[in-house]
Amino acid sequence: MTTFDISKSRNFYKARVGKKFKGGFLSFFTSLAWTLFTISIAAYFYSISKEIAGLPNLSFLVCGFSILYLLFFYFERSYYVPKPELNSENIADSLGAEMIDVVLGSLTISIQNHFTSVEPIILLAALENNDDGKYMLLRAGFGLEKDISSQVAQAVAKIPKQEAQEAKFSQSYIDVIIAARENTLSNQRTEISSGDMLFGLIHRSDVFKNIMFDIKIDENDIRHVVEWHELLKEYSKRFSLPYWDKPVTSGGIGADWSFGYTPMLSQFAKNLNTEVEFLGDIHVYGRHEEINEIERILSKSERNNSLLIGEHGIGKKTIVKGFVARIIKDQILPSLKYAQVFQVDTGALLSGGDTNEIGTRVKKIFNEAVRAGNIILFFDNFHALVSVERGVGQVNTSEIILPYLEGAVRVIGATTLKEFHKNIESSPGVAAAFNRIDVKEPNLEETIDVLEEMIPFVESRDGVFWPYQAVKEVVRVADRFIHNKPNPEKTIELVDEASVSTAKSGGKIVFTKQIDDLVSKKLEVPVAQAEGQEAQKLLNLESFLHKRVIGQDEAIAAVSNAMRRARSGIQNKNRPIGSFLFLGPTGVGKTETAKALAEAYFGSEKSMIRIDMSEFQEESSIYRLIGSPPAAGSEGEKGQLTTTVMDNPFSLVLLDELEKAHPQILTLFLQVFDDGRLTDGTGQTVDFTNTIIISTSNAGSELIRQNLLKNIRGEEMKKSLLDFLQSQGTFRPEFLNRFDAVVAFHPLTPDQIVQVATLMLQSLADQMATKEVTLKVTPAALRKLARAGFDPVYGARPMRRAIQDKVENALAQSLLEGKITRGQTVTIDEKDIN
Amino acid sequence: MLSEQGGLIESGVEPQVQVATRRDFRDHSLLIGFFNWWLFYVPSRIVYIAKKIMAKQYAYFSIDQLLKTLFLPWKRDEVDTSNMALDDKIRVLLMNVVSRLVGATVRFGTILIGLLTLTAIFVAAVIAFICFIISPLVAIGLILSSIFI
Repeated sequence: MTTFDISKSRNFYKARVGKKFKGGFLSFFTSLAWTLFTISIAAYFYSISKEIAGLPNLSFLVCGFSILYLLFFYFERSYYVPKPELNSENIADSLGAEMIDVVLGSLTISIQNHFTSVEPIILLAALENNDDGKYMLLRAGFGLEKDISSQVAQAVAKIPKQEAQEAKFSQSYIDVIIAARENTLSNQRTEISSGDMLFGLIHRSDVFKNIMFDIKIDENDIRHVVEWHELLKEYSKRFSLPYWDKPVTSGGIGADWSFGYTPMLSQFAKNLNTEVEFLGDIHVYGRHEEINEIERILSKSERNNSLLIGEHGIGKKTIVKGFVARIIKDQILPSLKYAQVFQVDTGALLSGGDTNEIGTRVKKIFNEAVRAGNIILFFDNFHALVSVERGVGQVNTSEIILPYLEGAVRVIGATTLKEFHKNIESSPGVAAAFNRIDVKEPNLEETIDVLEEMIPFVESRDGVFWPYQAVKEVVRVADRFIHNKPNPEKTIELVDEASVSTAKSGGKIVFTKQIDDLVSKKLEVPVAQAEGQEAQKLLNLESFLHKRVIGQDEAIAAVSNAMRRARSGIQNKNRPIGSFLFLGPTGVGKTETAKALAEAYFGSEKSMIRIDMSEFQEESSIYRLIGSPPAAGSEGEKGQLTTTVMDNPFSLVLLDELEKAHPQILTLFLQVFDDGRLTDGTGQTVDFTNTIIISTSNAGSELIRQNLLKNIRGEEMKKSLLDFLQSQGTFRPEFLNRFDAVVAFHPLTPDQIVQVATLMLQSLADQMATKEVTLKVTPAALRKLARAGFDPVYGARPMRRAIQDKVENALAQSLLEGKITRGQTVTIDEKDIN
Repeated sequence: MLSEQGGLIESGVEPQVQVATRRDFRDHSLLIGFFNWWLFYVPSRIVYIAKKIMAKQYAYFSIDQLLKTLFLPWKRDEVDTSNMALDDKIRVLLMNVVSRLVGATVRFGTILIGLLTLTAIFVAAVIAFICFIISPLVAIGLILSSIFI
């Protein structure tokens, strides 16, 4: 039968006795014993030299007792240390010294407060008094951003009270400790830690679970927080190890006496060992597998060259530096023990001379590396050495270097996948001499691991604290909004910036809001998760859009729904935020809806990229849209669409008159709608996942009008429209299916025309109000103006011109003539409109 | 007053994983524990620490590396004698021998200093080991001699 009985626990007894040996009077006696021991020896020799009778005997007595006391003290101090027995039937025996303190602490709190039982919430309070427990709770954001004191107070208030000063451990309290012990066992550890206790709490305490839910921390996050803390403890332990337990570092006297001089290499390369050593304790976060792989490959006796393949900014050079750090710390295989890594300046090596001269130089460098015996050459942009193209800094030296690559010298190369296929694969011998290491972008979980290693250094540099919520947020935001750099670089940069900006503003804690604000400011997009005011704005998006667009309820509802999906975080991340096809006659509000949406989502209608697709009727015009690579004698063309989106990734793209574009150009958009990206003419991938794409077309306008006359609306209207567009061959079915919504804009009714006129006159009235002139328009005048501004073909488009001609011109003249003065009210009547 | 009443668990879950911890002097009673600590635990710690310090010093003086390369030329500074006239060859060979001799002398000196250091550590460890083992007996001996002699 499993019990929890601290009175019968040997460990609790040991902990209580052991406390007496830490500090207090016993420690004082220890210092005294050491002093007496030293004095007695000195006194003995003094008495011998001066022949003082009796003193030697006294010295012997004092010295003997001092030794006995010291033996007693040091033995007892190490004997009375609790030794957790995780398999004991009395669970109290599975606790170590620290957790015994926590349990006793919770018992004391309960007794002092006259509680009848010791509850998990009190365990939480006791954990807060423990260094590790307090640290982990802070990491989990406990009590930082959100005040949780009322929840804790409520839970405490529920514990029954009594007069007597005794308390019994409640069943739920014991359950927490059992869960903690299970976690310790499943992790193959020998002692229950405060982290295990937190696990126990989140598993078995509803109060704690609810508090954690409120501060957006779940069980998996607690696991991360605990593992993170264990990792940091492990690091700090390494620093405080005694001299003999510290790892042996490489070097030592005479390590390089048996390796040769490297004058040529010193000219064209830098010694990474020296650089890394000079920088001190260099930190390479994560990437352990890649470094292991380099180590394994380079220690082989044949084919011992490795080629790192990955995009720019993915961390290839960092991996090599991590490898060098291992050599310096002597945490490396014996065959690489005294290795020196030289990073060759490929640019300097391959320029400033004719091909023969460069060839000789390359040969000399390799010869020197072979001769020195301990050199590993590292070539960033290795492809430049075996380039298939000729030009400055591009030479094909594959014939020269191949013999060296077959075991004579060890080489690390770095290149991108594109260059690997283009240049290195075209020299099969060179490609075969290398072992390929693909450096992949870490996933979100791995990125968090990288940050966990990195953040402590940022924290000590900037004097700020990163709660786990902020770590999660920075990874989420970087993944969602930054697409021009790979992970972990983009997240690391963001962590750096957020830390510095928090420190600069005098803050001590990096909150999620600060990260969101920083990215919002940097990218000019709303980053924060839809909450509070923004949620209200999204919920009322229809009314916001209706402030600028009259009628068109169906279109506005479709767009609003898509926006809500996007902002609440349930949309597919690898597609544009929304893609819509607006169909309908001219002048009914298609463009206006797009502008209103740009304002609602991106904050300004200036974030709209408008492209007139009627300019792309020829197949050859595709290059104007997506750009073209530099060709002989020309610089290459910038893509009207791709370059603008690359510069402004958070934009609304309006493709006007889509049906007029060449069908081949429309095919391009299939991948944009599907994958949210497009490869431009120069081979660069342009990210569209942060864009809203709206295509407009007049096709099917007549059908819409006829359907409305027949009172066909909604889904039926949409179906007949799609059938019509397909039967006419305007758009292919696979193209139409890619849109989030195909929306029919209806022709405006006379009432709606009047509303459009009202809306436009309102903006005129607002302008006049700045000159302190009140503008009023009578209903009759409004109707007349609406009639004048409406055209059966162009819809409400001529309205702007009509207002200019019939109202604004007259007002301008009167203002100049002084007929209208400040403070006056101008009323426009039917007769004023000619 | 502290009350330490134990709660009884009705459906206690038996741990599935057995975590092995090494038995040491803490597992025994006070008296046996003391003998265990005095005669086994602390002496084995002295041996462990001495071994670690000696290994560190051995690595610091790179003794194995220096032994392996004892007669190699200094910084591999050797001139290739192929395609040389005989008199040049003899002159260069002589220089190469000198280079090797210089290397060997410096390396040998370093090895010697390293070995001396290791010996000093070893001797210190042996003294610490013996002193600790005999310390209780010495203490008792000192007390008795002060009383009876």
